[in-house]
Amino acid sequence: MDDLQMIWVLIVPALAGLLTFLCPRRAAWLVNLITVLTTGWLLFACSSLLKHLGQNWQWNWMELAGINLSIDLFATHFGVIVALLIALFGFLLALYCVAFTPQNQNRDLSKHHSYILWTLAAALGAALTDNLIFMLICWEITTLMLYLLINLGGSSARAGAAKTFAILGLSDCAMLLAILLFMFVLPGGSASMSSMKIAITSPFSLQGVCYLLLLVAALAKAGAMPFHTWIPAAAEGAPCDVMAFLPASLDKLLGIYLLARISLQFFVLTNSLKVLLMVIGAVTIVGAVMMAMVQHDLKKLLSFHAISQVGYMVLGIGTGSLIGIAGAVFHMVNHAMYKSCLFLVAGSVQKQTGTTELDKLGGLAKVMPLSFFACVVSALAISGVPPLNGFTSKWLVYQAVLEIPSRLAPFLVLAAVFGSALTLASFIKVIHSVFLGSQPDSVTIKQPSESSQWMTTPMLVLAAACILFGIFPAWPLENMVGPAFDTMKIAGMDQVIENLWNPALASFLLLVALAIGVLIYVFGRGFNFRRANLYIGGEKITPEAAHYSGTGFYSTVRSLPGIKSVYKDAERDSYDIYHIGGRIGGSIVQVLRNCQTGVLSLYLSWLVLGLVIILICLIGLGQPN
Amino acid sequence: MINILPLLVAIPLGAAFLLPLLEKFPAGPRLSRTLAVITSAALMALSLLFLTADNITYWMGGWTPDSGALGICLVLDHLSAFMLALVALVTLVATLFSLSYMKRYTAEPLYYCLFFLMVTGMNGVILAGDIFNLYVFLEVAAIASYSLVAFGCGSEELEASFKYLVLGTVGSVFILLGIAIVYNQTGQLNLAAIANTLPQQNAALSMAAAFFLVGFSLKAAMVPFHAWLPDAHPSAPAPISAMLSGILIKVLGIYALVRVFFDTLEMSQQFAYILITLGAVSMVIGVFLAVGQWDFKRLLAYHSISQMGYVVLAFGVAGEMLLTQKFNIASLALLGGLFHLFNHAVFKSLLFLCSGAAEYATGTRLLKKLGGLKHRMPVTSSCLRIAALSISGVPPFNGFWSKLIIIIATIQAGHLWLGAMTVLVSFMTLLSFIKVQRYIVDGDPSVSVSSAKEVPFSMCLAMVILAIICIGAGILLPLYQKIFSDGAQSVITEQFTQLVRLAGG
Repeated sequence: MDDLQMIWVLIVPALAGLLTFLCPRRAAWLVNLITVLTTGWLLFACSSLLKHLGQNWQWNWMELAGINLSIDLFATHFGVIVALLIALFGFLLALYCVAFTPQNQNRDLSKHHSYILWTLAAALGAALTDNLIFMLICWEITTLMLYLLINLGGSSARAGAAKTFAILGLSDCAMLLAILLFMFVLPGGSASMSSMKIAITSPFSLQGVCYLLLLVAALAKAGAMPFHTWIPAAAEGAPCDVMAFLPASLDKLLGIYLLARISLQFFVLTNSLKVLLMVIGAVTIVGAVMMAMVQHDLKKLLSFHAISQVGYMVLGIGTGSLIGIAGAVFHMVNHAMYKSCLFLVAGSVQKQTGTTELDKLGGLAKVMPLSFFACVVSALAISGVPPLNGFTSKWLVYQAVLEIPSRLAPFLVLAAVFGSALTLASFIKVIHSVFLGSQPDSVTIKQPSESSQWMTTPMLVLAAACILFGIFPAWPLENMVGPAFDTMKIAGMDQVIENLWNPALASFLLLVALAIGVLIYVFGRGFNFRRANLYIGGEKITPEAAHYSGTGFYSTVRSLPGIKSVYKDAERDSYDIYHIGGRIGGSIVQVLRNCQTGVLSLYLSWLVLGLVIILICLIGLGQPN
Repeated sequence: MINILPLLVAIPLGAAFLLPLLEKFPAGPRLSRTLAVITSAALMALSLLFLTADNITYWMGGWTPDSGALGICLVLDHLSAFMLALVALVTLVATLFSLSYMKRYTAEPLYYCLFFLMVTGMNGVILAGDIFNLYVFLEVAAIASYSLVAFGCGSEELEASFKYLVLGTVGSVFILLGIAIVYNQTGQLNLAAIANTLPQQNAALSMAAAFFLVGFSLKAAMVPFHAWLPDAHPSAPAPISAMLSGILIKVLGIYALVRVFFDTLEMSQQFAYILITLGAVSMVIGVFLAVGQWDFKRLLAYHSISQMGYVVLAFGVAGEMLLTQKFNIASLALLGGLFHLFNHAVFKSLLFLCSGAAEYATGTRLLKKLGGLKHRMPVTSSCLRIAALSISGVPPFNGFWSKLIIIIATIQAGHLWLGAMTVLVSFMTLLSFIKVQRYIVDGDPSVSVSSAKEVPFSMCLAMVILAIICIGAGILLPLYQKIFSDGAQSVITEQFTQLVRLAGG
């Protein structure tokens, strides 16, 4: 493996993707085999890259008038860690997809798998490259693949797919512009990422604009407000595995990777920009979680949480302090794990029952115990309940925010903590509606049973990782967050780890408490409960009337004074950048179309007008030279 | 090699004369199809031959200026070789597509006759070494295109053709006026000779330049001279729309503009700024008008305006950089402009062919009535998707690379705002083609699509050829970059005028 050229990490999935794309329709097993083998190999290859940090590989694609457009791979420690995580999620997803995709949709299966493999190639390219233009290309290819993947969801997915491509396309354009400004206009700018360091004097200077454009790209990819609306739109129709793969894990990894590198390495931020970042973070946390609480669809609910959690990462990076950055990067890793797990659970529920509507689900804990377990663990992790991983990273962020010398600090902390509480609240609703309670009889669904092992294994692996990272946070902090610090040339990771809250004792106590609880349940009167029929006014009522779905839990929140109108506007998409932009664009189009009347004499008069203007320019404004 | 140069004009012209004769025979349509394929294949082979050839100056009948006669001069430099190949490529695929598509129209031989007259005109414009022949061939191509737009003979087609005729003729008149003024000032018609004997810049020459600008901008459909295009291009039969948007506006508009302003008249600051302004305005207004369209072909037509804006902008930037002696950036801008011209020819032709295929199979071209095409017409919808991604500038498809080069050149030239505008237009293009994909390709089949079948083989073949070019042209650019950079170089060094001069012009 020593002589492995880095480029193979990109070439192999790209070629494998081509191979699966060309696979005959009937050979579903072959498609799955290729995908699992390729992703497995990628995992292996990326981990072997860890031993060859600093390795590089370069190939000049073309030289244009002095500019080298080249593929320039460089194994930075941070990049390799991100690549490793990408490969890991790719591998877990490949396993999951063996059983997930319905066999009657073989036609889409080979497409699905080849898009996944191409996404992997592009995402790895984005993480491992040192050349900004190549990164942009990879970045856009992941966007394109996400669009195609969402579209596999069928008719209901196409609106969401269009919205996703539009918003991410805007961010890609912003990134393109920023990179070119960077390379050609800023002193000290170049296409090479490792040699960049630019101080921003003011947000309105060219440097500031450049940073803001890159910020838009990173935030839109990660899904922070106000560029978040594509995630819930995509969730409406996209298959669950796609949601677990891209918006929940890969896009977050890439977006936060870029955000961290631009905010901490490429640019030196002013205080006002830091405050901007923190405010975006706090608003994202609270705004998205409020929307999540009132959702009726599991996928949509999860997608709003995918937005809300980004807020913590942005907030952490915005603090600019050691602990904050550590918390943000750690949260990025943690979030990818538990959110991916949650979407996989949703996929498993959908596969077994055919729906993700919370109203129609219930009582699945008995039939799907493994999914239930994975769901509870990751729900607790996302809510930041100790001793799971989400707690540790959120705790670091809280600490960092408390330490900032700003009057905003209390509000930001409040927002962050409040966001966590609401997250827990909404996951109680999920767990109740999906797994506990009873299944509504009115809804006839397929006989649910536990999903196949191909699907449960990835979920359980992720859930186990959530627990382990929570109980032993020093290891991931040292081996996953530390490298980020190395790459971005920030010192002081040791201090963070030393001052870390040690959850071992607390976890032990918690386990003891749990064990005692179980003992009491088993030996106490836990099993001796009585089932009785329900009567109202002497009449027996149907179980259907007694079914209480969790969707009503927080419907009162919606009607609180003050919040009510905000919810109403949000549901009419008044805060959606996509719709606002659409409305503005629409009015410009209308004005222009009104000039296009189809009357020939009008067209002729434009022609004359144009001629007059050109004549004035050429003759009226004096002779040239 | 030299002696077969006129064949590029003669072959399509000869075919155009033979074809109407076939009308009388019962086997006419079949024969005319065969003849059309042979002719366009021959053109393709010839142009590929000339693509790698050296520069050529050819005097018809051996009437060189030395012999005291006013000879007709054909000139082939790298730029014209590139343009010839492009014309031949689009001609070939349009012919292939027409084979099945035009069966539903009557008078097939006459269709191919007009078709090849248009090709004759375009090849003539590309090879013409003197400005009057350029005008004549331009009119040949333009008049053929007027009648081709009206070929369907419906009320809409006739109206569009009439508007196109009136506006196109006004444009041609301005070009002729410009030629008259230049002749008055220099006493020459040969482009190189004009360049040699050009007097000091004066008001008359500025006026001529203004007329040329208006005339050629009208042919290239620059805003505010664009009004004919959104009517004319959608009304023509699909393969003709592909020819019109794919190559006609480029040859009659942009190529002629380059010949006149870069090679003949002296480039000046004002010309450069006017070109930049025309390009930028067309880019923005074209794309805004396109976004709001629900008629597929009309939407595509507006995008032609916008995409031609990119090319003109690039040439404007190149002109400005040439004046300030920044040859590096100028050649980059020209490379971007030419590459985008090529790419646009490929993906826009493909888009029009796809629109034709969709209309052929479903009978409608309204976005809202189409839908779920990928379930019924997989080849067409894949090609459509590839072309849509190419025009939106999504990597790794070809449109991305040329837009990237143009934006890099614009920013390097110091026009940051123009660079930003170009990126914004690219985004708007993306939006509008997301809409196209959403309503045509994705979703469940609509009523009109549900009974549609994939189009016949020759139409599929035409689309697949272009789609493969869309995928490969960007990534493989280094392999044949020389073609474009040679073209750019020949503009920078005014190779064209040098050539004629060497040949005794």
